[in-house]
Amino acid sequence: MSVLIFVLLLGTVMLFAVCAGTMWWMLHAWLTPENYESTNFPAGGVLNRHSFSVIIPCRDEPYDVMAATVQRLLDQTHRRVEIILSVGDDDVDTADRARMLAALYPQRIRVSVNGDPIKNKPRQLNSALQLCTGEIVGIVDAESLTAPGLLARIDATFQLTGADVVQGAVHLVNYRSRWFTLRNCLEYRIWFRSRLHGHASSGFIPLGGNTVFVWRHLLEQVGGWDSDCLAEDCEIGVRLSVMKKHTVCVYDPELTTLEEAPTTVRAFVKQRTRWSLGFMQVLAKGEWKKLPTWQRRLGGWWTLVQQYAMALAGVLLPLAFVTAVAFSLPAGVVIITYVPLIPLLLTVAFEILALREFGRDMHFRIGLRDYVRLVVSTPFYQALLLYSAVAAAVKFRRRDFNWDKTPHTGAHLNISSASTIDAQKLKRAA
Amino acid sequence: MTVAQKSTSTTPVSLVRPSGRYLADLKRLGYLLLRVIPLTLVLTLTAILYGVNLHGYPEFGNDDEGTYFAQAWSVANRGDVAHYTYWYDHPPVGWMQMAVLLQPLQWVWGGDGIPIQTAGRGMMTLIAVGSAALIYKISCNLGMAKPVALVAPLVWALSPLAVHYGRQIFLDNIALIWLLACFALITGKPKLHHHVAAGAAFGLAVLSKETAAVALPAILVALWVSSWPRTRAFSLVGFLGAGALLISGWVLFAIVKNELFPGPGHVSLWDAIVWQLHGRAGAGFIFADGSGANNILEEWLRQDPYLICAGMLLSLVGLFFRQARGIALVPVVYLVVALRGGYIPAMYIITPLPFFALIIVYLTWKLWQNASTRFQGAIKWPGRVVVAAVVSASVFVVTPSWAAMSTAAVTENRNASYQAALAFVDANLPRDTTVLTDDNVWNDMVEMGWNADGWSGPLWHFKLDRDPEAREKNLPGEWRQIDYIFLGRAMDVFVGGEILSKKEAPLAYAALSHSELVKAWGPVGRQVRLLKVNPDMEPVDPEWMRANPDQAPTTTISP
Repeated sequence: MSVLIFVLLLGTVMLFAVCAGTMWWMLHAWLTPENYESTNFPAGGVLNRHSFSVIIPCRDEPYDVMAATVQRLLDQTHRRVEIILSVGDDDVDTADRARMLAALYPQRIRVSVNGDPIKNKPRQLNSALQLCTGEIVGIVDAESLTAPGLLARIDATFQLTGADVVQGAVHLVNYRSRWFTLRNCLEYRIWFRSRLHGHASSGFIPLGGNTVFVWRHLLEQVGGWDSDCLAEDCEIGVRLSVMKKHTVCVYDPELTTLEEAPTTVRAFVKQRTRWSLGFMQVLAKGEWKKLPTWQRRLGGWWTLVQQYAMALAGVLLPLAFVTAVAFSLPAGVVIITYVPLIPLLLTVAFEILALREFGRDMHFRIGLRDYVRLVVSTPFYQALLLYSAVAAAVKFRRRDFNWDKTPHTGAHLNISSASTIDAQKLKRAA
Repeated sequence: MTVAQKSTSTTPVSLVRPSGRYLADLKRLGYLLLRVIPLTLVLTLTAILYGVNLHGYPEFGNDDEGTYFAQAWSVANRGDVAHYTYWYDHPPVGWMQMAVLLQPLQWVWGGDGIPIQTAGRGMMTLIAVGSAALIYKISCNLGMAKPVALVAPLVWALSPLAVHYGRQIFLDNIALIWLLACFALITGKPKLHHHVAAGAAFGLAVLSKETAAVALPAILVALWVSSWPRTRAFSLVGFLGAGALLISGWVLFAIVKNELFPGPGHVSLWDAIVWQLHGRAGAGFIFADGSGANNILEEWLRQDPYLICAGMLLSLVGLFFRQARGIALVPVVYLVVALRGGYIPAMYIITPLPFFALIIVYLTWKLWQNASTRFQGAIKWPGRVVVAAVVSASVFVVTPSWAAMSTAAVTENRNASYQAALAFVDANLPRDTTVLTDDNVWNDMVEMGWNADGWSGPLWHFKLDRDPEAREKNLPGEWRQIDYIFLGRAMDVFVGGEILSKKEAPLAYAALSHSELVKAWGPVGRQVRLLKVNPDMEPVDPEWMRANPDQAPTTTISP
């Protein structure tokens, strides 16, 4: 019995640290007025100076989805933008669609075909990088709707801050598609609205794979992306952090890139498993150990393991509490296992507020139904995350690093009706 | 902005020669000392006022002190939240904090012939010093200049009321330091993590003494005023969430022990809350002559009319100042609750006291500022002179009574007779006797080696009549099984009153009226007495016996 109590207490202390730490990072943008204001700074009146090459990695993409993404990039207020559609030579249909689009705008769209025997996103990116001519290389996922003023703002940000990397914000918008998409959308929201800015100012940042912009010469200098890593975005972010490169995150609700959350449990778990596996690869590769100070190394390590810790905590915490109650442990022990639940529950309360802000910023009508769903789905969502983390750990042991791509259905297109019309117009023209 | 500040502050340093830099370092050290030394002096004065002669002043005349100490002892030594059955009268976190500190406190405030709960009073010393520091912090947060900010903790610490109650083991003192921490966190720059921490501090305050919850409206006003409008919702949710989740731990504790709702054979949180809200007789209207609340008010006013009257009036004025509104609201809500006419303990005044001090100093400083800046030329000096005159006059008026109280607190021994009685009991009573007594004596007798089960050694007189189930199990012979009665001041004050009356406490009354005086210490009427129970004697009136110890039946004992 005393062993059980000891294990429970030790676990409780650790879980409290995990939950409180996660809450701390999550709240970064709202912690102080200074933090809040620094996430969005005015950049009006700056003339466009740099040229852009935007890579769109595509695989098994429906035509509507690709066309909408391309259209949004063609509609940018920034004029010096070239688009590289990156496809694999085995994916003939998508390659045809890409060529069709390129034929419409031969001046602005080019197609890069990757011929590597192994197919994955970093390899496609690397071959596309060879075609880029712009000063700044950006990555925009195939199912992403960029805001018209985005590239102008990114250009201004590079000029004003002297940044080496600029990370734009991505929001998932199909929050009513399935029970878990609301939490998925909110997770993205909090990540790009708040957490990422905290990581940027701490000097260690795992970049996102979408709406991220880097100097082309810098990408060439570091040799592009790690062609075997499943989380190539995070991995390159780690290497750039080690080189003390300056990353700036831009957050403006008007300029967020809209994306689609996976709409089936299977797709969601697949995506999460891939990310988890990617993070494990990054952790195992050990580049983060080269960070300059031990505080940053600790911060880097924590950032990489945090999602497993949190997935685990979300399930273990209630379990510890229930164990303590079920085994009729002394009331004091039960109360102590309750303590880590406080930051966990507080996090849910803050998530409700974050959801409210999300609705206001994006002009979504968030109703009582959504708030209830947010709270009720919490444990089940945690269970999905834990399952994915475990699946990733199993794959990692088996050295199974195959690229399981998330299928795109175009659910985000219904949310933003204007783009759908554009896509159909393009299709007709084609 | 920050870049500009940095460059202006660093350039001169980099330009001067090494010897100049040395000089600059010295200067900086000087400034630091100028700021630290006065604060240290104020805190040292507080430590002396609240930490010296704790065994001598005030009298151990309140059972609560011993009760909380015994409960802390029980947490530390037995892992149980109370020395008798815990019945949710107060949340246990207050004495749990004392339990953690118990051992080191005994090293500092213990010793031969010193009543053991003096160590518990030592915790109040630490709390007083911490509270003074927090009052200083709040003053700075309100924008007062550093030297002015030092006055507020001084006014509070020197007030005879604060000294009298602040030196005794009261849960209100423990709750107060958490409330002050809460205000110190809230009134500073708006930071969400501070507001969450403030919520936790508020939760701990309520878990230390539930009446701290009365301050909630004032805290919310302060939070509203000082939070940043765009993240205000986060601040409010963070504060309330942290506080509520912490407090719900107490409810959870009751659920885990299956004591949330009333049921046969066990106490319950529900019953305790009903009792706290409705069960106690109301103290009457506070301004009605002769009501219980009025008696308490008069006792407060007798000790320190100045801080209460000036503080209460200025609190009402302070409501019109945005920045100090939350602070000024604390005494106001406490007044409103007191006006309801419910139960009010004497310790009720502990919480408003520092807020009185804060609002007095804040408004005086505002007045001085206005006199200095609003008016120009000719009127400026008269304005300042008037303010200075009012301040000097106040100091002149309060000094005699305040100084007398401070001196008494650190020099007088009001427990000499109690200490003598303890020494006699230690030397003469066998350890296997059952002694009916109060909770202060309870601790000392356990320390001397009596059984701590509550029934076969020292027996708290409250439990004899009010815990029938435990009594039937542990004391089948009822009052006849009691050997001695040790009337410390905390028990003696109830003799002839309702609590030890024939109707309310028949068994304790029977024991008292069937006992002979062994020895008495101190002047008649304020005595500490040792009685021996003799079931076969003719009953005497306990109240008469107290007034006439020389005519009372006596007996002697041999060691």
